[in-house]
Amino acid sequence: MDIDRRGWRLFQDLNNAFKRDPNIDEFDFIPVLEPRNNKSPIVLVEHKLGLELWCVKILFQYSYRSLMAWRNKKASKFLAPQELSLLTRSVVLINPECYTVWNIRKEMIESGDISITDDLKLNSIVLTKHPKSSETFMHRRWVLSRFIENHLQSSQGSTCSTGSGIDGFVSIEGIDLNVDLAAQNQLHAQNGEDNGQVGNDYHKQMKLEINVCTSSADKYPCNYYAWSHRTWIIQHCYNCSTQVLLSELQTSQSWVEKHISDMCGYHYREYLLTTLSSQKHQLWIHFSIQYTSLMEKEHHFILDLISTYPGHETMWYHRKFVFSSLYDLHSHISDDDNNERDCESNLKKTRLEIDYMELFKTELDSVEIHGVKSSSIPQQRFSQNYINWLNRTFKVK
Amino acid sequence: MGTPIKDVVISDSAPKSLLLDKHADYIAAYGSKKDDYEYIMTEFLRMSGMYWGLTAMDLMSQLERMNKDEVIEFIQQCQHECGGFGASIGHDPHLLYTLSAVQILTLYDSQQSVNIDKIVEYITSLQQDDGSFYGDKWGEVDTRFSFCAVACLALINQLDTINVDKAVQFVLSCMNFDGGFGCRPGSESHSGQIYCCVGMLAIVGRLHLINTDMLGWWLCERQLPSGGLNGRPEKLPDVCYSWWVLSSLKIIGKLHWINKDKLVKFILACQDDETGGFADRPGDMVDPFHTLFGLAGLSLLGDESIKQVNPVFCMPEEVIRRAGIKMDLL
Repeated sequence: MDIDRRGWRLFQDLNNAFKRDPNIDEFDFIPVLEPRNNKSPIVLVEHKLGLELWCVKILFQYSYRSLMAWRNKKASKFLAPQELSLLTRSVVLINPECYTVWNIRKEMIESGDISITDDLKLNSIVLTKHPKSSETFMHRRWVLSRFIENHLQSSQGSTCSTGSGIDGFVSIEGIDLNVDLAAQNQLHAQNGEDNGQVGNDYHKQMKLEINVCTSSADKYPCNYYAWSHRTWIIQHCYNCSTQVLLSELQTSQSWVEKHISDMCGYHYREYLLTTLSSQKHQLWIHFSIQYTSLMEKEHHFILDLISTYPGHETMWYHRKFVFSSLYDLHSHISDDDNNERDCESNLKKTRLEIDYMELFKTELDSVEIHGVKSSSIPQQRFSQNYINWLNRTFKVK
Repeated sequence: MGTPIKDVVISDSAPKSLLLDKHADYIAAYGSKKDDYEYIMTEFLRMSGMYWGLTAMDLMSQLERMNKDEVIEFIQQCQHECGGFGASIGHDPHLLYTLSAVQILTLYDSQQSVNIDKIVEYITSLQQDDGSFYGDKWGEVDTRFSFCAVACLALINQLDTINVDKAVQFVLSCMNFDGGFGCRPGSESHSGQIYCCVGMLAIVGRLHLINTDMLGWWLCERQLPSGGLNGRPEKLPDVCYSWWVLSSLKIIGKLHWINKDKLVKFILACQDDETGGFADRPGDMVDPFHTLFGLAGLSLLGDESIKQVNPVFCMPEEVIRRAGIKMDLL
């Protein structure tokens, strides 16, 4: 059989697998290097799709060439939108960095030939095999932006909505994202509105987004793309809501504890804490939480990790962030004080100066006792580096 | 007790001298196997692939071995109506490949063979109100694209067509507590992104806005006991990150903060003495990407058998001079 014909057969087999099971949730290559008699190289077990390695090249060449010939207007035959959509699926499953192929899908979403839901579903399957594909995440953000737009429009159309785009961000007030889902349903039932479904769909999709980020981060360590996607979700889909930031702070703690060498997890917490620092008022009014106490908790958390797992550079970077933030918090408290009560502040100022001198000294002592004297050589090195940093950064202040 | 540091061990049998002729042969042969599966799998980045290969050849003073007319004709075919370039014929336009195309044209002193006005139109159309750049019409924002836009315009001498102040403002909004930069505001510091941001600021003459001591520390802490540099904490060393960290250090005037001899030893160990070319780490498969960054790194470290490289554009210094670009590094 010539290569095109074999490619076409494989392409049909792949399409049939998706037809047989519309709930495929994972995809991978199977390390089978030679065809085996009378057995299809496309395997489907419990919603997991496998492609035997020997056929990957043939399937890719067939799908990619057919698609690009059409794109370059060199195709001998007309390709129906349905066929095109299947070809793009076959290409991105194997090589998701083909950005033009994702763009073809964007055009087809715009023309209504591919639905947003189907596209996001395929995208999630691609990420199970290629968890650090930047093009896949990029395409996902484009599709999600449309998804948000659609939901804002539906919620604006209803009577209870106040949602509108602000500064390029999405206001989620109209979607009622942060209220307890059960309570929300009840509210809508009472009001006799059908807007509840819109909110529910939105909520479900965003939960899925966070899951996609977590599983991609689990599959590939230090997954920059997965974590920047997560940050994007917080900013654009959750509008940096205080409640979401707090809940993410909580869930990412256990993730970090299980991935202690992964800088991305620590940095994500740094992002959450930095963003929360501009929401101190809401934190206090709505959650009775003092921002300083969050940072102090983070300080304990990182000290605990450092002493439990010696010799991890990532932790020491996080410690720098946490200590520096704590130090700034203390010095700002004294600044505010000076501004507000100028005349009686001298005594207080001195006390606060002592306060953060204390903070500095306690930190220095703690590294000297627990770090420099550690039995782990890398730990000693990181401790010394940290002490140098402390002296460089704070001593002169 | 303790955790072993993530690093590589360089074996005694690893190459210790520079195998220039092998590398030139490797690159020259790379473009000739057009039906290969690998070749079509990498078509989505062909334009950048050509920039890597051709720049490597130029740094080795062997550019004349490549078919200039064929390259120029290919680039012409990749320019779209909108002015941007795709990675290959029939691939969509994007800033990434527009920069690669302009870099190759500058290398060949052939900018006039494409429509330059259209390129300017394309790039300016991608700048947003906050100063950031979309990578293409679909709207992804990334500091890499800020670099692409500014580098491209500098090479064609049209920097005054965008709002430079706002572009700078956006890049600075991606600066982190550690002095590094990420892809968007709030994103983690990453050596590749740092190179883009520092390079962008160098081109527009705003390096004074960087906290060079803080950034310099973070960058030089990327050097591992093997001598190689990683791109982020607790990752393995890699020749391409060695270049991005090294060039950033060079731009901010802190090249002497790392151990040069050990880094040279690491880069040399990443050569394949049979096939030619450099890999990411000793013993891995070679590719044109790591081959360029290996050579460029050695050039910055003072190897005189390679042409002097410009740390911002990753092109021969003589080409940058010929293009009339002046930059003040720190």
